Order: sequence, then C-alpha cells, then structure tokens
Amino acid sequence: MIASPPVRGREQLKAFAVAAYAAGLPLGALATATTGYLLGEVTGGLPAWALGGVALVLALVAGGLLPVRLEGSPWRVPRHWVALGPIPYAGVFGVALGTGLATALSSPGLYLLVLWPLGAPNWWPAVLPFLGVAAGRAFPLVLIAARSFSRGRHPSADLRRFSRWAGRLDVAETVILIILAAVWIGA
Amino acid sequence: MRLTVPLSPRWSVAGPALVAGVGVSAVTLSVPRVADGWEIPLLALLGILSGIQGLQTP
Repeated sequence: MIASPPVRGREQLKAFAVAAYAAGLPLGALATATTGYLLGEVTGGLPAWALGGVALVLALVAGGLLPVRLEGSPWRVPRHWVALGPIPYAGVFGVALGTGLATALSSPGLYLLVLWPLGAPNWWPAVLPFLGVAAGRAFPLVLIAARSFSRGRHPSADLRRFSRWAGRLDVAETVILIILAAVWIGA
Repeated sequence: MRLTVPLSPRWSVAGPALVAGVGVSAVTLSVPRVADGWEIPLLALLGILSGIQGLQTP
C-alpha cells in the first residue's frame, strides 16, 4: 500500500494536506529520537560493539540472508480520524509515520536508527539520522505530489511507480549496515 | 559451451552488497582513524534510504 495522505478535494486543500503531512514527519522523528536519547542518558547508553552487532544482524536481514520479516507495528492511522478534517488528519498521519515505530516499518535499518540515539554522544547526532528518515519520506512525496497535481491527477499512481524503484535501495542499505557494523565492531 | 551459475534472488542482493560493504570496511579500517566520525553521515544516509523505502509501507 502507498503512504499517501488523504489529498482528495480542492487543489489548495490537497497542497495543504501534503504540507501538513510533510511537517508532521519531522515532529514524529524528533519525538522518537529524543526519547531514545533521553533513555540512553538515564540508562548509560549502548556500547559501540552492541550497535555493531545489531547493524550486522540487520544487514543480513536487509540483504535477505536471514529470512526474517520485520514489519513493525500492525497499527495504522484509523480512517475515521479523517473526521478531524483532511489537513489535521494528514498532519497526524505524518507524525505517526515520522515516529518510525507507530506504523509499518520502512526498512530493517530503521531499528538501528531507533537504537542509535541510546549510544549517541549528544542530542544533535542522535536526532539527525531520524530527521533523515523524515526527509526521505517527505521530499519524494512533495515532489511527486506537486508533479501529479500540476498534471491534474492524484499522486497515488506516480507514488506506486516510485515505490517500485525505491524497493531496489535495499542493496545500498545493506552496504551501509555492513560498513557501520565493521566500524563499530572494529572500534 | 557457457557455464552459468544461477544466483538466487537472495544472493543477488546480498552478494554485491556484502562484497561492497566488506571492501569499503576493509579499506577504511586499514587506515588508522580514517573511520572516525563516519557513523553520523552514514546513519543520516541510512535514514534517508529507509525513509524513501518507507513510502511504500504506511
């Protein structure tokens, strides 16, 4: 299924809904990363070798060598919440996706990004990678939606085409996870 | 006669990724301190890649 926020309606309403969704993403990301960082401060954090071990296991999962399906939370933003109004609903949808954990998992590497703030040296490096998740979810959607709206069509079909291409990024993700595992375990 | 080794879909992802990952890791770790400070840009890139893939799984 495509992560399209509810953008049916008038053109301006659609644009505001996409903007609310894109603004909600970093809020959710900051919430998860800051919670992890504070948890790390309280508990003493995670050592580099532990992060390296997790990165190695996730590399095997992302590369398909460890046949484990990581799907994340089964919860989805309820459709009836659209009663809040299309723009608030899109914002809530963005916040939920931005947390990375409230809904379906974007990719196996996200679990490393959830654990990283527990071992991060300070707040900014702790939240930066999670803001990357928000940016990765927001920018393609905004660009695709703008292109679709300019052509007078709903962005779902264009998003579906983009998602097929995005599915090939698992190779790059596996490479990065292996490098991180080597850097942390070798540290 | 051509001899071909069928590659399972699993290895077609993991094979090149393992070779590239281990290769880059070996180079960076063989030079003292070159890997210092790499993890944050790599994690940010991992985040962006994960986010892009997340477009397909709401």
